[in-house]
This record gives sequence, C-alpha cells and structure tokens, in this order.
Amino acid sequence: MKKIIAGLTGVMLLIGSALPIMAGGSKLVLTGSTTVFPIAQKTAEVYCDNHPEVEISVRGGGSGGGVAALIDGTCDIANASRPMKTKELFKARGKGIDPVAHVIAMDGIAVIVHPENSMDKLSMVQLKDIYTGKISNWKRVGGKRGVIVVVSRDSASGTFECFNKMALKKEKVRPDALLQASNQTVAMTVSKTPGAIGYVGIGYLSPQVKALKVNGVNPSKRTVSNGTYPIARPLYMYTDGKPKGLTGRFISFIMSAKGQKLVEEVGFVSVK
Amino acid sequence: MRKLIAVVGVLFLTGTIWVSNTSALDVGESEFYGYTWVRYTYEQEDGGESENEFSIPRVYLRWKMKLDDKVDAKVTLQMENKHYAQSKYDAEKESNKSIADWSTVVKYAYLDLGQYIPDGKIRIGLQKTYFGVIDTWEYPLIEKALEDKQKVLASADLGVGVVGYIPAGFGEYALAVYNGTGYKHIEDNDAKAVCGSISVIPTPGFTLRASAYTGKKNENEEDMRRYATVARFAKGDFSSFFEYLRSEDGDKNGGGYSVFADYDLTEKLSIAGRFDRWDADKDAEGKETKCYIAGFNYDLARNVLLQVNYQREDKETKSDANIWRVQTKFSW
Repeated sequence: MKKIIAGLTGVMLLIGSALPIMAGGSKLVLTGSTTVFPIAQKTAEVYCDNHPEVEISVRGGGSGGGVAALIDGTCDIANASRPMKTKELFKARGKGIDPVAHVIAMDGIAVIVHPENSMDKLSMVQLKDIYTGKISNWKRVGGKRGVIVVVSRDSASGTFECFNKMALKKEKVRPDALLQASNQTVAMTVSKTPGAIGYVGIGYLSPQVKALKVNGVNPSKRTVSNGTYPIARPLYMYTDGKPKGLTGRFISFIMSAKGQKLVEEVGFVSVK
Repeated sequence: MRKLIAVVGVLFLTGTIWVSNTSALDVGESEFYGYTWVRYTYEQEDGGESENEFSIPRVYLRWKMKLDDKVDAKVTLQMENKHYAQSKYDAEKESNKSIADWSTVVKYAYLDLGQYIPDGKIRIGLQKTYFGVIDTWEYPLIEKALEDKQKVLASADLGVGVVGYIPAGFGEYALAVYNGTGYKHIEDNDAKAVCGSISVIPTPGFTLRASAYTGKKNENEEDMRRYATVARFAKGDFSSFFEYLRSEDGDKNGGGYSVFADYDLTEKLSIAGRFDRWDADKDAEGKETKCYIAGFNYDLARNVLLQVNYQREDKETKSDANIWRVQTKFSW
C-alpha cells in the first residue's frame, strides 16, 4: 500500500509540474480595487505608449473581485486596497497560486461632505459615532441642524475594509447607510445629497465634494506621506509568485521613478 | 492607444462585476441560490440486463443570510428523486406504484458566529462532515466521493463545530461534535460522534489533510471509527488528489483509496478521471470493489454545465457493470 501511495503521489506531482504554466505573452490583465484603478489605468496607458506591442486590460470591481480573479487565474495582477485575507491566501495557495504583494502607493481615505455643508472638520470619535449611528444630526457635531445621510461602501470593497478597521474600529456601519459599489459613486452621491457624508480615496477628491479635516489634519499627499493623516493605507498589486516576463516588467515600471511620478499625478502618494 | 486599454467602463462605474461573484453580503441582506441536476443513466451488467432512465437526483435550494457583522446563517434544502435506478424500484410492491417518488430534507441549517475566534467560526446546527474529501467534493465527476458512495460517512450531520484558517493561509482546521447519525436520520443513541480535520499547505499547490472520526453506531453503540489522509496537487489548469480511507466498525475493518485528476483543456472544456478501490471488510471474501470513471465537463452556457461520464464497476461477488451517465447541472 505504501508503495502505491508513494507512486501515485509521485505521478501526480510529475504530471502537474510538466504541464505548461500560464505564459507571459504580450497581454496583461489587471483586475480589482476601484481605488487602485486610476493608478493602473494611467500607468498602463503610458506603458503601452512606450510598448505598442503590449495590450493591457484594466478592470475595476473591488479588491475582493481582483483577488478572486488572481485565484481563478483570470488576471495577471490583482489590484487591492487592502491586504489579502487569510481565507483568500488559503484558497490561493491550495490552487497553486503564491500571492506576492507589491506596495505600489499610499493612499489616504478622505471623509467628504456636500460642498455647501458648513462643517470642515471631524474628530475620529465623531466620525465613528456618525457611521455607527450614535450621531445622526449635523447639529450634534457643530454643524447646522439636518439629518446626516451616511454613504458607505459595500463589503467587497477594500476601501470599506480599511475604513472599517481604521476609523470604526471594526464596529458595524449603521444599517440604513447607503451602500455604493465604487469611489466614484460615493463621490457622486455625496455631491448630490446636501446632508451626506462619505469616504473616498484621496485620488477621487474633486471640487464637487468637500474634504473634511480628521483630527485637525487635512487629507493630502503630504499628510499621508508624513504619517499625520490618521486614515491612510498602502495600496497593493498582487502577483502569482515573483513577477516574471511582462508582469515583472510592468511592476518594475510602476515602482520606477517614472511610474511613481504617475502615481503622484493621479492623486496618490509615492512610496519612493 | 485608447483601444489598448480595455476598460470595462459601465461595469467599473456600477461596480457590479465582481460584487455578485464574491457573494459578499452586507448586514441584513440575504441571497437565494441553488442548483439542479437532470440526468440520463444507462447501466449494462456484464452478461446481464440493462437499465436506463431519466432522473432528477438532486435539487438544492439555498439561502445565505448575513445577520450581523460577523454572524451568518445558511439553510439548504435537498430535494431528491429517490429511486433513480430501476433496480431500486420494487415494482412488485403495490405501494410503490402510486407513491410520489420525491423527498425533501434539510441538508444544511447552521449559524456561524465569527466574533470569537480570529479567522475562525463557531458553527451551530446541521453542517458538513469535515472529513477526507466528502466536504470538498464539488462533483467534477457525476459519482459521489468515495466515502459518500460507499456510505462510510454521511456528508452532513447535526452538531456544533469550530472551523477556521491557520495564519497566512498555510492551512485550515475543523473540529465538530455531531449526533453521528447523519442528516437523514434521527439520533439513535446517547453517544456523540467527534470529527476533526487539519489541512496544511507546505508549498503553494500541495495540500495535505488528515481526518479522523469516532462515534458509536446504532442503538447497540457499536464502535465506529474512520480515518482519511488526502494529498492534493494543483497547478494551473491541473488538479488532482489521492485519498486513503480506513473504516472500523466493531471488529470489521474496511479500507481503500481514491485517485482523481482533472485538467481544463479550454475555458469551457475539462476532462476528469478517477479510480477507486474499496474493501468493506478486509477479513471477509468478496467485499472488494473497483471503480474506474472517465468523463468530461462542458460549459453549455453561463451556469449550465454538461457532464458526460463512463464508469466501470468491478465487484468481486456481483456482476461487473458499465454505466454511462449524461447530466446537465444548472445553477442560479
């Protein structure tokens, strides 16, 4: 019996290792976080300008979706605005995927309100109380009387995971919060709703919304970079193993001085 | 330039492309889903009679609910077309001629409490039996997993369990206490069964699992023990496993193994094969069976799978048989 078991296991390993591994080629698929999307899109555009033979497909859909795509083998790079979860790492390793994280930028999660809102700052405690439902009127935090409309992200979102962990200390968001599927839709909803509060990556700040100071600190590249802004996080690109071929060249490009300059151009913070 | 950047614009803006696939529910949300098999079977015994039939062996209706931040619940109803082989249908029995040949049972009904154990859950209710490959077999071939096919263990049982992951994704564990009678039967003795499993992934693609199950069988409280060791290997489009299985029922010892491999030829087409060897009682003559299965799976459409299998059953004391099965599985 022992010989049979050893023999069969050996055969399985031999067959598996002899099979072709996904080839690099001249096509690259990036999927995942809507926060990382602008970085991926911009760097892909510039990379393709310099390498016309290369095709790069960039898709959004959330960090969870990107990681799932990496595990299923339907993308080369998973964009994520949070680290992979233990469950995801287990699934990936079980399928022969060896997830390697590349921190490609830093981001601050900006708290935004409608431009006509009189508020300009909140403390972390007030922010938590608003999102968990303890405070439901702007008057309670020094603003004009009015119901606070809480806008949040769905639970597949890496931005939600980070905001939940850093700002809410993992407490649950009030059940009547309006859940949105991307940074853009959060910004859009807040820009059209006078009593709304939401949160987006700092790359999504625009004149259509007003960013609040948190604990007295403005969300900006400088405050994220120097560590004073309290809701900041790294942004990731995950590859299967140490990146090789086109995947490796693209990751190297993002990490280069030129790539990191593009990171800054789209509103995020360079890691170099 | 722009054409090189294939941006899925609408999906990106709405953000819906992956949200549904990852099934991440928000608090208060629930999801209804399930699947159904429709099968044709042709069975030919060597030198004997043949049988063939259409059947619906399973309909699964499932609900998943997120009750609170770290509290989930799941209920699965299993409907089955019981006879699905003419040999099991006793036409002589007058009562069989008019019965509606369907039954519905609750397969799973459990609550997950995730707030107490990091990367783990306390699971209360009717849940999987965390053993061998019975809890991970997703029917890449039409036949059941070896332990299910040979009725070594029930695939679900009522009890309390703890399931979780080893840090950094290096493995998972499960430990549960059950009635020990399976999900289709009521408890028949005072003893409870205990089942434990641990999986480790020393290197990506290679998984080792060890499982043990101990309990008492029927009202006589006969000792019942089960052991399984599983080695899995996966790389790219290839996956495989080898399972060694042992059973002890009082003085009766059984044992055997199952070897499985599948390979995705294209995005829609995969091939699979399996060989089982099982001896229900090693001290008795004529209890050994061998089973060879080969087949392919083809995605006819989104959520519609076609499976075609050939199966050869070699039995020591009964006639050997050739079985052809064609099945569609549609899920929603």
